[in-house]
Amino acid sequence: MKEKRKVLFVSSSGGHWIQLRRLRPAFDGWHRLYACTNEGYRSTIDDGEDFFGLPEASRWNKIRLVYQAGMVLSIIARTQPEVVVSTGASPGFFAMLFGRAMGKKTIWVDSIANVDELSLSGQQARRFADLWITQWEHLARPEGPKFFGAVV
Amino acid sequence: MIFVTVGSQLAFDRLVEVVDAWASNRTDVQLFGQVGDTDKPPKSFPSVSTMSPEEYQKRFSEADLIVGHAGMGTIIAALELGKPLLMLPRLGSLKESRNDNQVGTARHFRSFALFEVVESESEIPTRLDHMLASLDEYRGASDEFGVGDSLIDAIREFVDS
Repeated sequence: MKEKRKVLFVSSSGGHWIQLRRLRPAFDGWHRLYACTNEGYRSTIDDGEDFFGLPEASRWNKIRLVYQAGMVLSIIARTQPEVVVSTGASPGFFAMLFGRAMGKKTIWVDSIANVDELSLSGQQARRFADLWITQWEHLARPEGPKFFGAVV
Repeated sequence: MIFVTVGSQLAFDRLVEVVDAWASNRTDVQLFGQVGDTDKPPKSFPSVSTMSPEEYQKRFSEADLIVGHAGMGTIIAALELGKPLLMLPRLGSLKESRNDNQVGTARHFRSFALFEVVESESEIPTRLDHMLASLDEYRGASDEFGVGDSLIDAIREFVDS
């Protein structure tokens, strides 16, 4: 049997995670993997999906950030997804960085919570995202981010 | 039952304190809170700092009304479960969040039938009384709520290119 195509979703907890999960229809029929800072979501994913826990980190705690980055790197290296997708925050930024470095297709969908400007992690992710998306039409620019609609 | 929730990241005492004061005068109303890591938990109703996603879903489903911040997690859950939501946006200037993005979020979503937005916590008591008195009006309310096909299509097209 042909192996399923693999996608890795990466985010922090709360709204980022909920938005990420709403992107599932784009990957119907794929093997979907998740990496998130909230271990509690492990029990909420669908059958056939896989979950990896990530350490929490804020951008003020450099040691935790390095640990988190290392975990994201190791998950991408181990699972070798074809595509890496994120909606936000530091784990998502690392996923773009390492995903790109390992030759994966990277997709950043900036959180719909950012109405007036792109998130900080979203601005930084730009360099490493092959597809860079905002969920607000007024934030779209010809050079990116692009707008195609929203998860709500 | 009113479910008061501040999301998974930070406490939001400005919101919880005013709901607490309101609740102490409304002993006819049951409340439960998810209030984050705070040294000022509510006195007039039970609360926890965080809860599991299953517990959160359960509390949310059982509630007649949600009071919360203008976070996307709360907003999407309210839309999915069709719950009226009263929201107070966190302010960056009060260090309640990194920036004022919730003000923008609240501005966008305030036109939704299920949602009420207050700019100041002082408006919460009257708004809560009003929402509780008109719960029936929210029952029939539904808001357009789906993932944009164009977003899903754009991602599909990109990964297949």
